[in-house]
Amino acid sequence: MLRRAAKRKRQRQHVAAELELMPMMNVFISIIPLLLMSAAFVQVSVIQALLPSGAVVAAPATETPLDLTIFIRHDAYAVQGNGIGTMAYPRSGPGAAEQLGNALREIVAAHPGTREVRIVSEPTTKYEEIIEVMDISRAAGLPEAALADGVAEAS
Amino acid sequence: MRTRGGRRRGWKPKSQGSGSVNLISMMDILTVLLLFLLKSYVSGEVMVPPPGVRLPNSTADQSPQSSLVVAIDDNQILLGGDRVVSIPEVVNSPNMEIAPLAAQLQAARQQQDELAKRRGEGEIKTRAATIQGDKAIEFRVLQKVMYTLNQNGYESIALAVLQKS
Repeated sequence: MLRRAAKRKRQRQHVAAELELMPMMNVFISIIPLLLMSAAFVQVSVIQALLPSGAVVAAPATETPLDLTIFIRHDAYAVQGNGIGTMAYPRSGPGAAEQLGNALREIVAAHPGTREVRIVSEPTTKYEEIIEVMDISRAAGLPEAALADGVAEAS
Repeated sequence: MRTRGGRRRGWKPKSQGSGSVNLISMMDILTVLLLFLLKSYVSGEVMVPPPGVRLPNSTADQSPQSSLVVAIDDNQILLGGDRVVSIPEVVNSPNMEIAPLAAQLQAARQQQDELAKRRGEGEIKTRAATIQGDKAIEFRVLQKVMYTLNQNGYESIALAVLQKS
């Protein structure tokens, strides 16, 4: 009698419990196309750019008295401003970007409230190089970058 | 083990009862796919650069807004996916304003005004444009495009970049 009861219990435990997965499948199948449409596998972001000096006719090039300018020359980066003179960082060396970043950080620390920088490029300067300098200046605490041409000014 | 009669002792026909498909493995795939898609979900504007335009990498993290898109690749300038002018024409032109692009921008502007009027919105105060420039384009081309955009009423200009991970 006892043996029979134990056998019955064992049999009851062996009954496979099957989950009802179809509703969940339906939900997943509806969500996936929706997410596929709004998924960005390549993350694109934007940088707000101020206009080149050639386009700004009436407004002054910069409103800050420091008038901080970065010149992107083919051989060097040069930083210029009122009261700080001109500093050049040759681009041939490996740490030119770091040097430029450090110099900008020092300038920002010495002149709190400075947010704008003018980036002056040569006509043949590559877009990638300009974006790189914009990144460096933004990391140094200068989020507003105005693009301009006329590298001759720096020499 | 076979009996004398040649029949298997414990043999039973296979297909008995209701046949159910094993969905667990499919559920696993769908769950992984769902997690991956949730990770790459973007709530704002999804911007895809046209083929041939390799955007520069940047640390910028501002998400793009819906705006007029001007794409610049090695050979041509595209406005909303349509070819407008070739790069050699732009480089060789002595003028700062790119005439074919200016004409297309005027048409786009009129279209935007018309749409705003139909929707009952007021006059558009700030017009935004996004430049999707190839990383190898020269500054003189970019400058002319920006100048042309500004001269035709597009004052808010954003540069599209690939976000560094």
